[in-house]
Amino acid sequence: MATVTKQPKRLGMIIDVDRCYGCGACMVACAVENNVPPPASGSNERTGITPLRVYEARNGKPFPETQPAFFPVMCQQCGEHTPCVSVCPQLAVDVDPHTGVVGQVAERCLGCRYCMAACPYHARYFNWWDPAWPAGMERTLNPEVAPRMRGVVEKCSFCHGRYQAAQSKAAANGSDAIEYVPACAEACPMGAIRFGDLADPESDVAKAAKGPNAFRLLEGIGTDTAVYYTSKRPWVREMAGKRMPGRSEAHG
Amino acid sequence: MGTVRRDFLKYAGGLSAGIVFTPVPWKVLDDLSIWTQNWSWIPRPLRGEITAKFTNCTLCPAGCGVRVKCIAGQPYQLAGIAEHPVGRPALCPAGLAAHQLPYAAARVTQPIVDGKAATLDEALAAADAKVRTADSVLILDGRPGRCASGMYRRIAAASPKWKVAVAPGCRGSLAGYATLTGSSAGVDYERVRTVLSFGAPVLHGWSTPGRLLARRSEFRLIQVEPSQSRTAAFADEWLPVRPGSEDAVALAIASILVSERLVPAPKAADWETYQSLLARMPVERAAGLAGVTAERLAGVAKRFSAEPAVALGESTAVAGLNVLLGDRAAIVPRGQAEIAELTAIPDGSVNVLIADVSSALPPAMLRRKLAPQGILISLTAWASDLTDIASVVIPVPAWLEAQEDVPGPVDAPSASFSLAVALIPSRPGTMAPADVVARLSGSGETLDEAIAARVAAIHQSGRGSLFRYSDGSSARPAELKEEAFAAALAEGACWVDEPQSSTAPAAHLLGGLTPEEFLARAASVPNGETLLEVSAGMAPVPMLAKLYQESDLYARGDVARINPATARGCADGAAVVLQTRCGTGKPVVRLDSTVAPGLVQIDALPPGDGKGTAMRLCDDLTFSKAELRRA
Repeated sequence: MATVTKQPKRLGMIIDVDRCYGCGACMVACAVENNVPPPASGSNERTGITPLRVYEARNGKPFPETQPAFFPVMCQQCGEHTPCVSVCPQLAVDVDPHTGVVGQVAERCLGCRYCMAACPYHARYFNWWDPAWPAGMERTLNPEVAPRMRGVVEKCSFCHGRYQAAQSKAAANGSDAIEYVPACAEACPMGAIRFGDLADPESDVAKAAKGPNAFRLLEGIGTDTAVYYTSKRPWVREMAGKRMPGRSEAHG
Repeated sequence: MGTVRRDFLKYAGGLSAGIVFTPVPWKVLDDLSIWTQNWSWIPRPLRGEITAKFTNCTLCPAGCGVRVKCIAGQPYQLAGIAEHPVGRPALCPAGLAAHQLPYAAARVTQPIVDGKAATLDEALAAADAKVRTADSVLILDGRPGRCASGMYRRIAAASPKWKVAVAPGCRGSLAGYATLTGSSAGVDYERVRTVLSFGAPVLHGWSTPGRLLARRSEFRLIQVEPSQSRTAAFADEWLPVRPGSEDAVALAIASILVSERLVPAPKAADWETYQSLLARMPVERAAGLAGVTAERLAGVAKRFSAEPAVALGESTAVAGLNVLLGDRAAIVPRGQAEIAELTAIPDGSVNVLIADVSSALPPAMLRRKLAPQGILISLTAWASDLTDIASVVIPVPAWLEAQEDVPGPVDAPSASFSLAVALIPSRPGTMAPADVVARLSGSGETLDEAIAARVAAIHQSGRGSLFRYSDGSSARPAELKEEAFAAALAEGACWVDEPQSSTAPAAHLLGGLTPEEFLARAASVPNGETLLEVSAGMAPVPMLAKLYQESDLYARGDVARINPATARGCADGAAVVLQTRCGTGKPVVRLDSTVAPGLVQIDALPPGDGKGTAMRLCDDLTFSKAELRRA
């Protein structure tokens, strides 16, 4: 369980690519937690909604030397020149100065999708359809998260609903410590996703982010993301600097 | 000077121009935009009291403990039980969204008789008429070890007309060990240092995932498998063998263990026959069949025998390796094994086959067992190929809708017992499968009575301990009154038995086959042929669609994964015709370098509406010969 103080901080993740075997538990847990509907009929990779998608990358060698690496990719929570914030004409995207989390205000969003075009990580999704679940399944929606409407963009917010609930609970208890963990990190059976405060040098994630095998996606473009990855395999680290994998390579 | 018409026009024009610089029109536009985005038909989450309840999962034999968050009594969030004595904290993707199962598109919502919708009474009457006139009725048990399974056995024992068989593939990767020794068994994961897996999905689907994954760093995993599955990809060592050569590899490893005296002589009645059999499958021959080097097989054999180890795989050839290891096998025998598999039932001998099965099975496999006028009665919650061919379909409650017991995980070293708790009402027109069978057989026993009797027997035995999820406490049955013991189980607690004796039981290494039959099975490795492999289906949980690319779900139907080297000129996304002796399918191709050359892989049950056709193309759960051509 992550423990976060109320001091200025930067929530972040470190994902061990060598431990992730692509089971997709994080994707399912994310969709359930955040009331993401099943894919609408007619949707495709860009029109469906998957705030967290596990991309499969390969070392490019033929069978049987081929080797996989699975990258769970969500909003990377850019900290510097956040591309989506700078292009939003509606102030529907902002960075929480207390957590560093890039927030998306659905009610302000006009649906222009500039932010999607600006995001270098393909981590934003547009609601092309009204959210719909099979008959009866709407009873299983998470009461802490409102379904987003057609016509707005959505993305990972490190499970904002959980953060708010934990913050309220801490306040009610008169405590400074906010304990919460996003659904993906909680669900990962391999413990590959760790979550915490990057600004706290004593935290597990901050120490791991400074490790020799830690890296970030597209680090060269200077977005100062809060999601770190780690792998002992050089080809995996090299791949992180390249563009995202193509459609045929990507699945959970 | 009076006001003229021109002044009014100037005032109106100024007002129009000025209002653009106020927030009014933009606020109106914004509100209009929000209003048009929030229609009444957009679902709203329930409101009400939030509570935590506990239950146990029945989607697979792992039987994981589950913490259920409910809003106004309705489950909306599931998580594993961190302190669970058997399952540990992890849930699989299907388990994480299993509370959506009652609303899945693939749900059977109404009884069906001869292809027409019927009431439950009509369906029961139709099934009763078929059973009454039948000479032979077979119950196919898809989840052995339950109280329902005990009811089926008692029905079969009371009348020669009734028989019971367990469905193929549901006994886990130690099924072969049960065949050789007559004893079911669990893996001693606390002790194991080497896991030699023959295609078992150790890391991506088999067993209680949390229990295994929590120990992952403690054992070496060697995977013997034609394609690079997720387990193969993340194993410490992967042997990419030719499809169908797994038994030959197992015999070769056995041969090395025996010839180099890496293991003691086992307690096996047919030990000498087995030794002579090994001599007829030299390591070099097996290596040639498998497409690997003899040196590599020797290395695997040495690593396998060096420390406590277990060999996982359904065949008896693989199970023989566990017998050879003797006390060094990290296996805990758990008593008498379940009864015969479907394969032991003679073909064409069954008049009425009652399938209490929720997993995907090839229809041809069941049809083969039926007499010419035989019929199938399907007791299931999900539409599948079996419901398409069944004369009578009776819907059963989905998980969370009715109380049922959870048999101990197939790989657990000790027995356990827990209940899947009914947290939401059953759909009208559904009935528990055991109650349907009891009614058709006239046994008079109900599932609730069977569960109550089992709970009472466990309490009376005084063995093991009861683990409560709500507070993490444990208690011995003797410390609780029977009512309190039963009440705790009804709230999702889990009883775990004491560890059994780990003395290796006596075995028959050939499992009742003649040496010629055993050898023929091991040596029959297809060469140069296209083979179809249908991957096991998962429960049709709607949210599992997230694991697939949307274009695979909606634009394509079945997706056949093939290696680019044997794609026969088919491009990624091309439509192809796949023909087997059971039928013809029209999947589209996905080029995948993880698939063994020559193999065609198709998922049994793609998520979404679950309209896969792969099961209709094969006649059992092993490789089927196939022909692939461009459409």
